[in-house]
Amino acid sequence: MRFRTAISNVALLHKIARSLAALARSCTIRLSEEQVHFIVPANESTTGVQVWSRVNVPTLFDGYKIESNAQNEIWLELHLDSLLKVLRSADSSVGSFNDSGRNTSALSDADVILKLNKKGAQPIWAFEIRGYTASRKQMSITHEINVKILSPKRQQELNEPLCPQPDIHIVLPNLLELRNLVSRLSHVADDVRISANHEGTLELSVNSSRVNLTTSWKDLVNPTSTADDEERVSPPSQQMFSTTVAIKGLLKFLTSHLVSGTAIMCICENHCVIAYVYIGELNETGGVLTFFIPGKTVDDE
Amino acid sequence: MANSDLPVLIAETNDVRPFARLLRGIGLKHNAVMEISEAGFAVTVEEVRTLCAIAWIPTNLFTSFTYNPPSTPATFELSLDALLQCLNIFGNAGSSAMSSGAGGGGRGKRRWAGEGEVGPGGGGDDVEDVGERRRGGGGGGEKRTGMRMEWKGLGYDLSILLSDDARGPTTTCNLKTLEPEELMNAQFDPDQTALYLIMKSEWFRDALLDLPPSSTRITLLATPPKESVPPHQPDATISSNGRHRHRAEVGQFSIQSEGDFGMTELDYPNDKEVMDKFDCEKRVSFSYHSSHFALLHRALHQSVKICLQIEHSGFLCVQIMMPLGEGVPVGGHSGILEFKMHALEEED
Repeated sequence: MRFRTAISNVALLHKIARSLAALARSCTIRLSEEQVHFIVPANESTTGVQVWSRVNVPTLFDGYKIESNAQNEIWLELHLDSLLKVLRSADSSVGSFNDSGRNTSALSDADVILKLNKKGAQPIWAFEIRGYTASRKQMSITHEINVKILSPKRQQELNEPLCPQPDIHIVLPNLLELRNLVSRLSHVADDVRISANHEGTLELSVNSSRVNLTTSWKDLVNPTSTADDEERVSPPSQQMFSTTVAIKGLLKFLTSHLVSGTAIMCICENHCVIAYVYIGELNETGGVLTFFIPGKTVDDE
Repeated sequence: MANSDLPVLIAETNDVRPFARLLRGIGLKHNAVMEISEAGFAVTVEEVRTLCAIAWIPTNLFTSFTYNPPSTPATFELSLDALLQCLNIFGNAGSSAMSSGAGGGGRGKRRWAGEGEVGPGGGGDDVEDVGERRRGGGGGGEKRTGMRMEWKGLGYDLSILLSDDARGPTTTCNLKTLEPEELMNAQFDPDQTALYLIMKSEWFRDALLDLPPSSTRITLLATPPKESVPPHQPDATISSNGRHRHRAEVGQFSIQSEGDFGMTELDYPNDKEVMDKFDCEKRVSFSYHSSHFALLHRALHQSVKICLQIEHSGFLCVQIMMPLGEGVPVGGHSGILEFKMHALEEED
């Protein structure tokens, strides 16, 4: 089992890790020849929000080499806290952090190499940050974090949640603005009802004993449906499809505004909400983070 | 009854901030009683028998204000907290540069909508987003939230439509209205006035900030002009003795408070640059609960002047005036917050 790569986009990896850290303490990473999958299964997250994402190797890495007995795939699990600490250091050393002077002791113009090593029986991820000190001396810092290699049995236990065919797709408004709004809604109630129709309307409603509040967007884009959808009878365009989710769960997903401003949401009526956060441009996407937010059953009144 | 089909109230504005600011000033309880009249809104919050706070919100804060008097008084109770949350839904009704938590006597201080806003969870991962949040929360942003408020009448919700720009999202809020609780609302009797003064809010606000947080009692003391000079302090400097003499001559107002680490006294001489008005016949001294005084701090935010009156019985009435908006006629105002409280029993 061998794995070695240079991290070409430390900032992006840092942002992805930050988004994931909002959901769970640890995460599973599946490394294959073409793609890196970041997985937060349901049992890891407190709100039942799951992440099943795939990022193309060139989006994050450079000089990527992987070898294993299982179709050159490696599955490992690690603590996001320790990963974040390393990436914070690496990110500031690479110099992608804009705020200079924030960490004057850090290195600059660094390259970051990631290797899978073994320390005794403990597998580790070693991050070697090679850069220059403030006095332009070359220096290298190595961070090691413990990882756990997943057995094939455990790999099989990790399954993407099964969802019915989504009733509707809609391009979300700017994720940061949405996050700020939803975080204000969280002061009003615990749950939010998300509804959308094929006319580009999206509504978020919260109800409490004191106030009912609905925020709606008009003229959002409904992405054109893929080929296999076309056989289905299209519903009236103004029909709203809704699912109620916990605001806490929705906010966890919205932390991904760090990664990208664009996301598409699908609603499986009264079942769940799935959000795809695209890395890079929609058409030449370097990867996608998929968030499954479970619906809550509510008594219809 | 001819108007019974028309909604009792339709009020519109293109910037909710002045409205929200006044409401936030009296945000000391979850529920408030709102009374609508031709003059605007009077929103009252009462802490049983101890404190009464009223926000007088004039119609000039709205671009349009249509009131159709119903047969019964247009008065209802609603959740002030929820109303403020609604007004701040786009983050544009927050107080700018609010030093939340730094208030005088910070005990029991609660966060209200738009005040030092922090996302839920508040974990370490949120810290780095503060800069982005400030952009939306600060009052200096170009974005303004416009509002259309409508109340059909008794038994209906108060409905509010909010939007921050034409292409952006809109929010509709329906606030439940309740039958109002009976208010004490003790009236201040101008014939019983023992002290009447008007000064800049800033002066008063700074004083509240300086009061020791551990104090429980705040004493207001006023001496009329031409009072006898205090006894000569042997260890005082010449200038401080001179100051005392001067203050005895012109009269002064002082705020005293005793905390765990000593006593704070702030003196305001009746000088032209300090007092706009100072009417005091004879020495007045009354004490008030400092937690009630701490509530004044939030109300003073962005205000210009305060008018402080004390009855002979010690009943205190503080009126806080907001800066005048454009085109406000002479004698009009752009919102006044009024706080009334009774004095504490004298200590032995």
